[in-house]
Amino acid sequence: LHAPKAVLSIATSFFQQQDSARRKTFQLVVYFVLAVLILIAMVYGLLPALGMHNAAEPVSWWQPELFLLAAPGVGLVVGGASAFKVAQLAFGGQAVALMMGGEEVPGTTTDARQKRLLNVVEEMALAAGVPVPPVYVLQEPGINAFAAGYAPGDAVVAVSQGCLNYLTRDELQGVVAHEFSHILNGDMRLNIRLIGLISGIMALSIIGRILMLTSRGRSSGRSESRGGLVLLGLGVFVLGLVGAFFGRLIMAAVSRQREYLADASAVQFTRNSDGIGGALKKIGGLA
Amino acid sequence: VKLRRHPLSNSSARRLFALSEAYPDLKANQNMLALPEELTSTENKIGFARQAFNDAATDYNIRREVFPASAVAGMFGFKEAALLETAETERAAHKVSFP
Repeated sequence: LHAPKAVLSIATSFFQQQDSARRKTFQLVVYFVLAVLILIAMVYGLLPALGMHNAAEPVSWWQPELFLLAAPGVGLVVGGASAFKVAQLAFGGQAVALMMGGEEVPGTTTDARQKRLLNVVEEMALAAGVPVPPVYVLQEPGINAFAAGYAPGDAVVAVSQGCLNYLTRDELQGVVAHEFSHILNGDMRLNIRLIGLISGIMALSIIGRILMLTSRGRSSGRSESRGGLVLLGLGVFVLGLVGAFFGRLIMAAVSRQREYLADASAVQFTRNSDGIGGALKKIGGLA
Repeated sequence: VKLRRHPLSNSSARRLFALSEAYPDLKANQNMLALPEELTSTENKIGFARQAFNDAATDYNIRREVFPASAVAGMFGFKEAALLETAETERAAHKVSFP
């Protein structure tokens, strides 16, 4: 009720930082969608451009029948390949933790450090308002942690043995709180969807290359239409590569915002900036 | 809304730990070693549950007053949510340690 001014300003700044990270994520996702739309427009643009190259009389840029061919075609390739990739990656958290060599910590553990980890996870589940997830320990000496699972309902938290060995209780709490933000905000799902979209764009360039190689290799057919197909393939190939490059840039920016969001949320959940702060310094080798 | 602390308060815990000083076997006992962590965690869980409730209630109270949700809230008579408050003495950290 009578919180000192300093406490109030910390309180407002971590909520403000969360809002800022969410807003920037939204902007970036809008850019990503725009990039895909631009990609579709450019692939469509290739068709009349190639038509102009071949035809003697001027060709209109706007040809609805070509657009109705190109737009759903590109959409289908990008969408289909994305869905395939997402289905490949959308494991439950347990499967990911086991793949990474994690061992589940049983509720009956008698190891003091593991018991403390379970307690800290339960505390942060309460603070974040999500169900208590299964907890895994990775046999790795460095300080590392991750949350895994496509849906929040099947998420798990995994921390390295180094976290248990080198972090204080407050620092461990900060790290676990950071991972709970990834669960609460659906960051794993967002990440997998972006990876899916990028491989969808990459699939476009693969199709471009196939088009290029098969048209060149084919002996039958009129030579100018073959040349057109090779050029179309080359165009789609290059557009796919450039699109995937920008997609990766945007995804890296999204990841950075989600980390800022998770750090600000860790301070909200623990109400202690020294915990996550101290852990980050230890990871960075400053302490 | 007021929350009361469980009667196992500072004094009884302190007597237990004082007792353990006199009995080395007791002090070295597994359960006795785990006790400070369990006390800390129990205190934390109460605190974090209260904090999560208050964060959610504050979020609701703010949304309730900001357009467009405020229009719906006013129309259907959404009441302001009360926060859980505790006295400073009850919130103070439980100091338990082996000397």
